[in-house]
Amino acid sequence: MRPVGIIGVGQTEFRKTRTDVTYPELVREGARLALSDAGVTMDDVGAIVVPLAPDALIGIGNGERWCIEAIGAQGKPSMRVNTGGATGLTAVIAGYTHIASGLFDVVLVAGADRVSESRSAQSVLNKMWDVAYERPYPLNTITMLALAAQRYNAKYGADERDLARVTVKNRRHAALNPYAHLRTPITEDEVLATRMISWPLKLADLCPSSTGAGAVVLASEDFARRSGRPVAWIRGTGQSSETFWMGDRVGPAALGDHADAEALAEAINRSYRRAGITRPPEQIDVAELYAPFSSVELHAIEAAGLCAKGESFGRIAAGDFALGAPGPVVNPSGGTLCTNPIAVTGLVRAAEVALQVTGRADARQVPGASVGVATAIGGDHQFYASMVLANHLEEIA
Amino acid sequence: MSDQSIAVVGVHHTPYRKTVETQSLEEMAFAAARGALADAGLTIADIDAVVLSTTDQVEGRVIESMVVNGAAGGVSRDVTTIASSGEHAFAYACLSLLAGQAERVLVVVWSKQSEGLDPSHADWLGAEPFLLRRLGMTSVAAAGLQASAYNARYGFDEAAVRSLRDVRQAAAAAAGNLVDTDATGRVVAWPLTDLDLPRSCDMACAAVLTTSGHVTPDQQPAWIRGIGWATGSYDLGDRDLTTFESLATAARMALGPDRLATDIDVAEIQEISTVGAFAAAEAVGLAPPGGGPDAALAAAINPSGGNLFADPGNASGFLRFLQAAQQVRGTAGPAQVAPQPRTALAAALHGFAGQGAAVITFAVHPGGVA
Repeated sequence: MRPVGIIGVGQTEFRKTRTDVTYPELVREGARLALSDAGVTMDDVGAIVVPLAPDALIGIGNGERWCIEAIGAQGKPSMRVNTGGATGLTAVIAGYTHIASGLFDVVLVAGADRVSESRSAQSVLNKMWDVAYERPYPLNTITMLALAAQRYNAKYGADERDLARVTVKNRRHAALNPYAHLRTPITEDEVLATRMISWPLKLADLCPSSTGAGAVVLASEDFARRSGRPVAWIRGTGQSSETFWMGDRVGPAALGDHADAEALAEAINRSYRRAGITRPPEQIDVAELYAPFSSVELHAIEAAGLCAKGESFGRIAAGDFALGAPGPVVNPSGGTLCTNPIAVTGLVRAAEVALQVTGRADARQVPGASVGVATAIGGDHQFYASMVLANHLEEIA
Repeated sequence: MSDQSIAVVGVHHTPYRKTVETQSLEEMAFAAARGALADAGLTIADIDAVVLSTTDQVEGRVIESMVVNGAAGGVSRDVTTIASSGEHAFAYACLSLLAGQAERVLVVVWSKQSEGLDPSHADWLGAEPFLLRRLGMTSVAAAGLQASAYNARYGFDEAAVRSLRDVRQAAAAAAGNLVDTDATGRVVAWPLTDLDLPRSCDMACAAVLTTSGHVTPDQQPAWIRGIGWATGSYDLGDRDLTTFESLATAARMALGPDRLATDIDVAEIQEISTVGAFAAAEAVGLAPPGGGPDAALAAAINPSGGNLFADPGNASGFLRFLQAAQQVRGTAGPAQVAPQPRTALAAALHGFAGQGAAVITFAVHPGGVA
């Protein structure tokens, strides 16, 4: 397969609102940062991929069409990807596919989101579910993942303090990340004292509604080497999906189990196979695992093969997966739990791993990181994406 | 340019219906997917990637591909949803095959516009909120602006418009590709009347694409020889509305440097209006500027009747691709052109006044992809 690398990364500071820019202007901010980082201009770019999740979150249908002039993409091939929360990473995979096809040498993946602009993201997201059976419960992404958290805790013996430890770890990481939305460190007791939203999830177990932009520039091997820029090579990609129906993941005839993330594991394993990863805890230095709530990170770590099922919370309690600990570090950026601009959250996962494996992650750098994995989850935990990046094209030891 | 050869080996769509009341969206998508697999002589077990396309604006679900995914065979498979247009889903399936990401891809695209209480309102919400939304911009209004610009430059050829309508209607009726309308001929966006605009319908469509190494002797491949797509300015004021610049770019990309549209045996072209049909024929390269009326009325253009008499929204451009592939495969049924075409071109448009476009060229023989 034709090698493809990320040669430029751009992200804005993420915050609750931006009233100084329109959606296209926000996309432009991220695009310019990535193009500048890559040392290229739009003249070099052959095609564009725009990640944009539910239209209702920004209040305009097909908003990707509105941002064409803002990024200078008139007349170029462009397309939009939407796999819910997985959108950003699916878009980077789509950019990779453009170049791997042999038809393009440089692709810009650029997007933005302003989740708070919808006033009630959870009301919008409730409309994901079937109008007759599941929408009236009422399901939203919080109540859905509260059910999954209950199941995980019941199956593996974790509790609310175990969830709080995830938040504590990620907030400590986010404090080192100038782009993160929630950057204030927090203690376990403080997490446990926040108000209950949907048992067992409390306010500090949940991600914020973030506004901001993210972009990456991808290039073919020839172009990437000629650019002279640090290159994060895409060594493997994988996607998978699960049943739409929440009810099909419980009961005696269940197709899945809310405690586990089998389809996420399937997507990650596909990317591992393509990358030649066979011993993840030894071969992965850094993992940016999409986990909008503390509870999700537990089974995401297990799906990534960084420990066995039911072991992640014990490992986190022991201090593992944190900056400074030996072994793979999970979400050194603070992760989705601290920053969730839905359309680009998955893209930021790949961008952060690209920065890590090229040694450019500043205060949140995992020392010596050379191989990393980025994941994303979309829909009602239905669409999954994974990408392995490395700073070399040799066999991963 | 890629030396890899890829082909469409299975095609299916649900019947042309203004309103489908007896099937859910999932059932329609399932029927389309199963039909395309059967046409290819495959089962879902043979498919390693699924590409879906949805607009999420008309039918009251925020991520519509979620509910369709299972019906389209996506569970446990590599699934990508392309939300910008159905034709982009086809292009992305091609990229996946050329990249070696998949060996057989199932693409499922749908539109059940009748579920929406007011599709025109949803369409209006595609206008940015600061200026265009206040001006009442919709696809119909944009088509009217495009038509008035075309007529202002080349003159209003009322006879050609009437002829185009008659020719398309006759072809659509002969092929069974036509739905009822409430149109009466009232002006809806000057100079266009409701008879000049596409008639909305419900439909799910699917196609199976594969690489040359996986085409079996009992399959009838339509070889994909060129892929092109482009997006122009969102701002209509930045565009020359007498033509479709993005379509011209996409056509040049798909045809490559050595081929002309006029060398193609048959074309299926999405038309945003009767007058838009003339500009589309010109943009594709079938006629010089202003020569669209004659070119659009040629027998080899839209033998299926095109989309003016049955238009499945987000699937409309994708359906043009399937119709063109069917011509090359010799499986176009009542719409089949004789003798069987050796080459075909399909063109799709999306966005206000064709902001974006995609073009695919097909042939009976493999030979790489431009």
